[in-house]
Amino acid sequence: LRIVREVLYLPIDKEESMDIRRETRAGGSIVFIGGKLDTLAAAELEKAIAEGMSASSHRVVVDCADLLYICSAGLRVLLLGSRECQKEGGFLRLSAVSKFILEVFSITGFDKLFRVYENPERALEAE
Amino acid sequence: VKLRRRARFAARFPARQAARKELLAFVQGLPRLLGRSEEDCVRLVLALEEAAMNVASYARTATYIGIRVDFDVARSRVTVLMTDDGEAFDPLRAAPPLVEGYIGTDKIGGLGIHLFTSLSSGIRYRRILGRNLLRLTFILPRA
Repeated sequence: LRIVREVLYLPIDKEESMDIRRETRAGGSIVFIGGKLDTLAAAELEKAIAEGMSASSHRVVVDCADLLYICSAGLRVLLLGSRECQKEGGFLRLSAVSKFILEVFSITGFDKLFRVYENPERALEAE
Repeated sequence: VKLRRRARFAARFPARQAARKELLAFVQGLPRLLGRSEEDCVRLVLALEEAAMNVASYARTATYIGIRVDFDVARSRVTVLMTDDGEAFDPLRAAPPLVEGYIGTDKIGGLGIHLFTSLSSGIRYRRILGRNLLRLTFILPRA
């Protein structure tokens, strides 16, 4: 049997885990995300991508430069967003993805679905 | 609270969807509790988030213990035991998602399970006395 020496009561207030902002540029919208894209934050990303689609004819770049991790709910949002953009003749591209998130992409097969760019400007300019 | 090099602790959560927020807060607070950086614990935190969300989704029928999470921290080695008395669910039997399966469907299942089983250094599942016992092991970078 395991002996539990310390049982902690932990505060249940959850801090905001993700920072998100959107910019509209000439070639499309850029959604900048930072922090932790967790299960509860995925809906915020979905909303920001949808706004980017409306503002820029379904041409959206998600910049992950300050993103620590992405959960499966966040991956689903990216995939469904990309599918929606492609259907409307646009794109959803990713930029500045960290080594760890690339590993998550590799584990889930998302590396075969998304091309990753160095920065959001490159992603917008790419053919 | 800062833990010693060898420490054991546990937390318990009600088995309901609403507890997902509490589970997330607990999991995301682990780096501070372990005295480590967010980067050191990123695999641990992501894997536990996925495992906890998975347990919260199938353990709705749990009645007695809900969801209990036990930690055993020995220097860089973290062993996590998640126990619930919900319906039986063996994540090791879940088929990995296929990339081809993502195309043309809105139902993208199995990603979370695939993530936490891949990100942990060791994983073991047992069903004992009506309880699911999922043991996950992680090796953190040396402090």
